[in-house]
Amino acid sequence: MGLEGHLGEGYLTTRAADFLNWARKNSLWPLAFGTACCAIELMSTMVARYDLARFGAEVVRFSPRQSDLLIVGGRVVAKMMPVLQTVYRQMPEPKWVISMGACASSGGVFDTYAVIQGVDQFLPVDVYIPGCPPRPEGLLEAVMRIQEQIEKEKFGDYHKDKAEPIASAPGDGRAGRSELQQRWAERRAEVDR
Amino acid sequence: MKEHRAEEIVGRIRQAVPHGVRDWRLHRGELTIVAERRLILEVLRALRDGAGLGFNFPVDVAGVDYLKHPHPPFAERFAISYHLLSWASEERVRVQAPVPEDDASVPSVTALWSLANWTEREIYDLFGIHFEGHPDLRRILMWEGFQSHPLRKDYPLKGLGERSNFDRVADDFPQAAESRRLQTSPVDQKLDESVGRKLDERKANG
Repeated sequence: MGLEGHLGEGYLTTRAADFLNWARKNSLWPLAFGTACCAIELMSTMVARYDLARFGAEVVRFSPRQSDLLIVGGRVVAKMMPVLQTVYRQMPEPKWVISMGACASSGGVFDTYAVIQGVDQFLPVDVYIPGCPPRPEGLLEAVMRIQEQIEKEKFGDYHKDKAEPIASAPGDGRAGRSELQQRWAERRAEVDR
Repeated sequence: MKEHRAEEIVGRIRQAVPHGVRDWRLHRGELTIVAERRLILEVLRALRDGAGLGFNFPVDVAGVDYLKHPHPPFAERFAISYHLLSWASEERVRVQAPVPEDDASVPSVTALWSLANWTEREIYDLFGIHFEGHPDLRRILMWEGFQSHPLRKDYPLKGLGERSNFDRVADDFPQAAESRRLQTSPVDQKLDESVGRKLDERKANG
């Protein structure tokens, strides 16, 4: 075909985006943000029986600067959320996020004052895995979904967090603390009566 | 612990600190001494250093909130429980110091046991009880800037919105719009609805 005829053997022509996507999807570098039992399933996904290396994602680094796939496994408490956001911001573009298990996706059974009710409120999540904890097959499926997503990426898709982080301000839809406190106090007063 | 031993311990403390012991009880071999909080240091020092006592190890210092308790042991809302162990005799004793709500403060026992430092910080963090003379009374579990004391019984389990009061890393991801729309989680909204229903029923019944 055309160009290859001129180049001779040892060359392959393709579109640059496809080539980059192919390289990226087969060499994901996960960052395991494991805070609970999901991390155990994550570990078992890495070892010989399930072997995430088959999908090119075996090099788990606990360094955000060298990762492009954030796996949030386990409940995230309010004290941990700024850390998780910092980790996410430190990861180089392009990057993807898996929310693994019920706790990371929705808070799970931990519907308390300290536990974040779904990290997707504050982070862009690409794939959710249900389960408590999900089996390794679930995580494998999620990585394959991420790979499918990477295949469809185009140049310019990679700047998911280019917008400035926004601060909570009155009127942006999120109730301020005093507002919430007042609401609870009114509720309580009415119920007590 | 046998009855006569408990009486002996309480007798010795009453001797050392005349007004220190308000009450005591022995339940299933466990001795609980209710002490006056203003004299708690003297009572604990007597338990630690008194002849024939030697309760030298503070296993735990804990806080209790008796708000809406069906059978509160005393009129005060809070209590600090000191769990002591004697390494020599392997006896245990529990000392309770009732703390009223309007003056929620207790003398710190860090002067007796530096072990109490972190447990007292935990009680301060979760119950909002102040420890006078504590060398470093800061929050230990909740983060800086947290305002409430979550183990108080009148603090709602789901909090006052602290868990949803974070900046988003970006404003242009699909879930951000959803999280903007939901001020609270759907579970909270359901709870609000059920509370609202109960209120309506009560109003209907007069």
